[in-house]
This record gives sequence, C-alpha cells and structure tokens, in this order.
Amino acid sequence: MNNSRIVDVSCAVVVILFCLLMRTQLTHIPREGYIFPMCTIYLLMGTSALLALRALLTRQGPHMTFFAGIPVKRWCIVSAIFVVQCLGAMYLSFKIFMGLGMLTIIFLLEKKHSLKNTVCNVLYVAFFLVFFQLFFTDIMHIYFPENLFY
Amino acid sequence: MKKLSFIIAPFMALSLCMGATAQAADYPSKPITLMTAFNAGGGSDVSHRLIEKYARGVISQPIVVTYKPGAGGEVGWTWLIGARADGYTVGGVDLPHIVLQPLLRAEGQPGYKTEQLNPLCNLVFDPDVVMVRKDSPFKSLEELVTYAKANPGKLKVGTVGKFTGDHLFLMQIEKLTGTKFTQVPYPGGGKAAPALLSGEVDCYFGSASNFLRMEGARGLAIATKERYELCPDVPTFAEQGYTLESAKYRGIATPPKFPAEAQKYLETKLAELCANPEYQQAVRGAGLTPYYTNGKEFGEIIKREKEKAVNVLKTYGFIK
Amino acid sequence: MFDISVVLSNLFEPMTLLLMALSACFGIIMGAIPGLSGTLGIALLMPFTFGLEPGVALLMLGSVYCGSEYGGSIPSILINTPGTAAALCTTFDGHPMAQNGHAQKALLTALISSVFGGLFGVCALIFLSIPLAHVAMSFGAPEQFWLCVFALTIIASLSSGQVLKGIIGALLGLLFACVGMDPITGIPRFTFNTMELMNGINVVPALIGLFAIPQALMLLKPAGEHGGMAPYRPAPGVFWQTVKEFFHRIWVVGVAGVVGLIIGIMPGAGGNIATFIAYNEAKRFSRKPEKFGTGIMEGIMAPEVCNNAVVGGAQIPMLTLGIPGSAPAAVMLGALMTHGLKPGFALFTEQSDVVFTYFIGLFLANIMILILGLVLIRIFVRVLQIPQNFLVVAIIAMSVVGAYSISTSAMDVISMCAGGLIGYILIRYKFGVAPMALGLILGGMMEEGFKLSLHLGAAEGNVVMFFFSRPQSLVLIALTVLSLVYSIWKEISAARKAGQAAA
Repeated sequence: MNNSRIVDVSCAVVVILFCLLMRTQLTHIPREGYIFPMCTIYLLMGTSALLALRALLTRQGPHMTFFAGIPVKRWCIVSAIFVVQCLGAMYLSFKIFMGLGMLTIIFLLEKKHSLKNTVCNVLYVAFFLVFFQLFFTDIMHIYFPENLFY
Repeated sequence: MKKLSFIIAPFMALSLCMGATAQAADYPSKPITLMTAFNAGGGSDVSHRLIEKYARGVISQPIVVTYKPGAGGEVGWTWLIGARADGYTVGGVDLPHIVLQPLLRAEGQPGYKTEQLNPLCNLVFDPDVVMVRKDSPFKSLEELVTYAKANPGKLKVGTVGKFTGDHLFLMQIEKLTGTKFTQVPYPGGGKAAPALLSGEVDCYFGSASNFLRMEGARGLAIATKERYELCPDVPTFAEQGYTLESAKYRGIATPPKFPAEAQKYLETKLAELCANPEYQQAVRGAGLTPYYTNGKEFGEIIKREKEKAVNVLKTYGFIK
Repeated sequence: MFDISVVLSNLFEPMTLLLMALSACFGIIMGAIPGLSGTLGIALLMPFTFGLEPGVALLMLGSVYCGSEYGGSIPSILINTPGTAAALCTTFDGHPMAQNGHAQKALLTALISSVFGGLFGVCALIFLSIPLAHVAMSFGAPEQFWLCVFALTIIASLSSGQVLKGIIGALLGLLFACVGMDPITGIPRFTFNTMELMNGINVVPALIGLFAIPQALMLLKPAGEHGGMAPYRPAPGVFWQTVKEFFHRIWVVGVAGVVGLIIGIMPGAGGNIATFIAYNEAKRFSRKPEKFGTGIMEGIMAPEVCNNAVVGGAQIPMLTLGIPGSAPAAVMLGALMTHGLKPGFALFTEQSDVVFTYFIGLFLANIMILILGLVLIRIFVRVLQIPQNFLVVAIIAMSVVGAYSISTSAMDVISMCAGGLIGYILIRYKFGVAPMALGLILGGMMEEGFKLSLHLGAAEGNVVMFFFSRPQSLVLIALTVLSLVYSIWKEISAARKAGQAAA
C-alpha cells in the first residue's frame, strides 16, 4: 500500500490554503514591505501545485507513516502533555508545570512501576528544577514566569 | 533512597518559595532589574552595563541587566508598562523612540503609550550629526546643501530606520534647507555605518555616538547649541546659519504607579552615580555625554520632544 | 611596534590563564545548551570582567566566543539538536556518525576541527586584518541579497531526490521569517494584530523546536538492545586515529576556513549562513559527495572549521572599523567600549600591547579548548547511555528552558512548541527540517538586502539594473548559476546512470 500520493497531495493542499490565509494579511502595507512576502507566497503556491501534480502523475513513491513504530497512544499523550507543559510553564507557573509535566511523562513511559523507580523519577525531576533555579535564575538572572504566585 | 528524597523535597519547596515575592523590609532589599529593550552589545546595553558597574557601592543591591529585545523597543516597553510596580523593575528608554512609536502605530494595534511610562531619570545625551566619508567631495554643509538643491533626490542618505529619530532629523533638515534627499533606511547603526564607509550611501544623518565609533567619517554639522565636546571640530548648524537642535536621549523609566519611596531613592542614588567622574569618563569613551536629570525634568524633555515630533510629522502629513 | 616580552609576560600570568580557561569552559557549556549561545555568554560574563584589566577582559570574552562555537557541536552530534544555529550543519553528519556507534570519533572530529578553525581565524586576524577590513567594506546590500540566494541553492544538495519538497520547506521558512515588525519601516506583517507576534518568530527557538522535539518524540519508540539512544563502544586509541584521518582530509580545513573567514568579515552574516555554504562546498569538492549525510568526517569538519573561523573573521572589522561581523562580535564591541577601548586603527598603534596580547591569547584559548574538550568528551558521550525515557524528558525540559532564556519571552517557547510539531510532520513526510531551518535563518537577511537594494536602486534611477550592476554581485550571481547548473547536471547524470543500470 503506497500512500505517498495521498500524503503529497494533502500537504500541497494544506500549504496552498496556508498561503491564501497569509495573503489576506498583506493589506495596508507599502509596496516595499509587500513584494518579498508576496513573491514567496506565490512561489509556494506554485511549487505546491507542482508537488500535487507530480504526486498524481507518478505511480510509486516512498511509503510514509506518521508514527513509524511509535505506539500511537503514547505519541498522542506525550505530545498533549508537552503542549500543556509549555503553555502552563509560560503563563501559569514554570516550576509546577515543568515538574508535573516531566514526572507525568516519565511515569507513563515506564515499563514497570515500582517504588524505587518512582523515587528515582522524583529525584531526577527535582535535580532539573534545582539546576534551573541555580544556573538560570540565580547565576544568569533569567527569571521564569510564576504568575500564580504574584 | 527515601532519606535522600526527604532532603531534596524541602530544597524543592525552598526554590518554589524563591519565586514568591520577597518581604520588603528596607528598600532596596533585593536586586533591581534594569530591562534593556534592545539586543546585547548595542548602545543601550553599553549604557546599562556602565550603570551596573558603577552602581556597586552606591546602591546597596546589585543592578541586574536583562534583555527584552524586539520590534525596535516596542516589545520591551510594552512589557515594562505591564511589569510589577514594586520598585524593583525599571527599564531603559530612548527618546524619541518612546514618543514616535505610539504616535505612528496603526489603529487597532496593541502597544504602550508614552504617558504610561513613568520617567525616573535621564542618563545620556546623544546629538545628531550630518556625516559623510572623509574622502567625500563635500567639505562643508553648504556644499552638501547646494548640491542637494541642484539635484533633488540624487543624494542617498542613510538613516537608522524609517519614522525614527534619524528620519525625524532628516525631515527637519529638508524643511530647513529646502532640499530633497533620498532616504535609505537601515535596520541599525551597525549596518548604516559600513554603508557610509563603503560608499553605498553618500551621507548618514545619525547619532554622534555612531559617528565617534566610525573610522573614516567626517562630520559636516552637529545639531547642538554649541560645539560638542566629544568632536569639537564639527561645526554646529547654528554656526552655518540654520537653527536646528536635535538629539537622542536615553534614560530610565518605570511602570506606572511606581512607589514614591523607591522613586526618590533611585533618583538620589543615580544622581550620585552620574556625578562620579570615572563614570562620566567611561560614558564619554562610549561616545555619549552624561546628562542626568531627575524624573520631573525628564518628563518635561519627553513632552518637548513629543511636541516637536508632532509638529514635524504633521507638516509632512504622516499624522493628522 | 609591540614588545614581545611585555606581551608574553602579560599573558603568562597564572590568574589570566585560569580566567581564560574558566571562560572557555563557560563558553563550551553555553554553546552546548541549545538556546544559550556565545552571544548570551559574552553578555553574561561582561559584568564579571568589569574590575579587571581591559586586556584580560578581552581575553576572557574571546575565550567564551571560541568555546561556544565548539560547544554547539556537542548536542548536534549526540541528540541531533544544534546547540547554536551555527552548529546546525554538524547535525547532518555528526548525528549519523553517533548513531553508527562512533560518537566519540564524531565528538573528537568536531573538537579538532573547531580548534583548527579557530587557529585559522586567529592567524587571519593577526596577519590579514587590514586588507580584509577593506574587503569587508566592499560588500553591500545587493551582495547580501545574492549571498542568500546562493546559500539557498544548497537546498538542492540537502534534499537529494526530493528537491521540490526542499524548496517548499525553504519557502515556508522564508515566509515565517517575514512575520513580525519590519525592522526598517516598523510596519507589522502577519501579526494578526497580536502583541505576541509583533517580534516575529525568532530563529533559535524555532530551530530548537524543529530539531529537538522530533528527536524526543522519536525516542518514544521502544528501546533497542543498547538501551540508550545509540550504541556506544568506548574505543581506546580513537584520538590518534581520528587525528590521522583528520590530516588525510586537511583540504577541508582550507575550504571551510576560507568560507568562514570571508563570510565572517561581512557585517551581519555570521556562522549561521557560513556553515551551510562551507558544507556545500566541501560536498562539491569531495570525491565521494554521496557519502555526505551518512556520517563521514568531512561532513563534520567543514561546518566546525567554518564556524570557528568565523570567530576570527567577525572580529576583523570589529577591531579595525568598529563594525562587528557577527552577533557575538557586536556584544564584544560593546564590552570593548565599556572598558574604554575604542576600535579603529588607533587601537593597533596606540594600544598595540593589548591587541597583540589578545591575538596571541586567542591562540592559547584554542589550545585550552582542545584540552578541555578532550576531558569533557568523556563525560558528554555518556549522554548516549542515559535510558531513553529520561532522555525524552530532559530534551523537552531543556528545549523549553533554552527557548525561554534567549529573551525571556513566552512567545519563543510557543514558537519552539509549534516548531516541534511542524518539524515532526516535515520529517515524517520527507520534507526534511534543514530547508525550513535555512529559510528561517536567511529570511531576514535576504529581505533586508532586497529592500535596501530597492531603495538604493531607486536613487540610482534604475532599480532592476542596480541588482546586476556591481562586480561583487555578478561574482555571487555567477556562483549561484554555476551551483544550480552543477546540481541539475548531477541529477541528470545520476538518473541516466540509474536508467543505464536498469536497462
């Protein structure tokens, strides 16, 4: 089963739609700020069209899978936690979300859950949090957002 | 293993608490953050590093320089007005940027307003200069103006940005002398300077600090009342028959509703810092003139610059 | 001119040497953490140099710069994530070599290449400062534009076989680079009226996302027999073997060093773009170009020699004309001025002691990096043995923190996050992340060169002719055309050979 045609065509369609969206943003801009992105957008639409055309015309192509051996559930959950971790760390509380996010991911990835493993995980996460506090905040004066505490 | 986690846990809790607000016993009780709205290594950074250096021994807590670059300063200054007004966060501001940016911002766009920045003090003064290459055929402002009048639009002038202090300087010159130049805007002094030296542009209307950094440029006119001490062989506009005073100022501002106690403390201490002759020498070495004024006077300077900017922009029709 | 005995006595003071070694170490660590870079390292170290002599301060900052350009290669090789944007090309061959079980050899190659590149740069700084400074001045806006166009032709060789997808990736990168407030006119584009997008999409956080996150996600695969990320076989004697093989390929040092030097002296263009060109040229001149990307030494040597040669090159216009050739050089210039040293030809005549102490000190700094590197490699290479689960979490955490640290902006972390997901899709669907990374890096420079040339051309009278009129531009255009023709010819002859073999 060869899905490269489907993948290529759908990618091309997504890119073209994206270009059209960006195109709508190019209003009220003087000519000099307008030419470069406009050319880029048109070239993008052109090459995507070519890609779709090539995909439709050829028979074979490399087989492409999205998950390639990674368990689907694992991928989805880890990605979701990653996104929540980023957003929470930036807008709510850095330490809480980073700590919880890291612990959850490690916990989920473990093959066998035992007390020893859990304690190791907590120590590992604690080490990172302490490292961030010492190296980044105390030495380099890079303050992480802690909006929940203010 | 369990014992170790008992040791680590309170450590973790402690670091969590470090994020919370400190108990303000006596001001200042923790380091003061000085935000730079531009990238490390730029003119603002140098000024702030000098403040940091000479604040030791004057201010009881260290000054910490942080960076919030982007959008020509907009990102940093918009952040500043939203920062906590607890007396420990201040930011470096540049005139006329903080006046021009809100004036020229399009409708519906978020951003800070000049009035939202509470002026703390002014630090340095950087006048504008008309520069050409050393081997350029123009030896005086008159020659430049004569040529420009005879060939409108032919001379290429480099400026830092469009609708910035340099551009305002160019507009005022065009109005005064009745000439027309072609503006070539560069994203920074680091790009405009090599452009002048390599001949890509015929002249550069910009800051004296950039002029003093360059090797191989000649100043034709400087927009100060009297000759500038850091380049005394550049004649002023006044000497050559035109009244033009234009300069950039760099100071410190705070978020609105800054505690009065902190304001008074910082104003006094910074006045002391700026009176230090070593600091003044270092500032001059960086090509700037130390010029301390306290918050109220800085506010007056900002108001004056805003009126001037509004006048020039209205004449050119950029704002109504 | 200068007194060699004064210079040497200044240099060989134990305190100075210790500070230099610590700074180099700090630089290596800053380079090795994705998101932190030499620029930030120099800015952070500056306050610590305030109480010291200008010469010592300069040496410390220079050591940080050299160290960071080496440090960037470490995560590139171990976890396929560039530690600095200039180490991006090191991922092309560095990580495959590590995956083949030769991580130590890869790290050693990067180390030796970095040191050689650094020495090359310092020699140029000592002997060729003045003539090269004049060359630096002759590059203008049209050349900046054409250089970027030339760099884009590399896509053809980066994505062999899927050139169309590579072009799409690069164009998307260029488009993303246009988001945000235009640095010249101040007009926001593609910001959808939000403050967050006003600053645009910063390159380094996006790069971290594009490279690190897909790597972390791919580590979710149940582990192989070796437990860690890649097999690691400690091989005694690998150092001398690497040195021998390095000298067999010494021509790469010449090619990459020259590229790094020339692009380093151009104001604004630094290691980011130079390493791509160096990699491509090494591939072009090599006898086995098809091996590039599979994990060969030349593929690591070229970018690493190049980015360390840029260190020397970028400081030439910085010291002679006060115009920095790269972002870290700009910070160093700021530090110079804080210490009261004014750049320019006067620096070479009046303060020649300081300057020449600095040059010779940089030589020493590179040697120190060699020694430090040899010690640190033994530690770094253990990263490969960390169990995959821990590594996933570590990569994600360091990516968030690294992206945030650059300008303490939440938007950077969001760019990183989005970049991660987009990067995963690009890799899975065979678009490759390198073309998009290249587009992001080049977008700003290219558009700036284009816009400035439009302005200058308008003043000259004829805009179109201006792009093609200067001799330096014509040289770059010729190189671009040759590069394209060469790639197309190679594709055709490869297809013909495949056709003949099939027939």
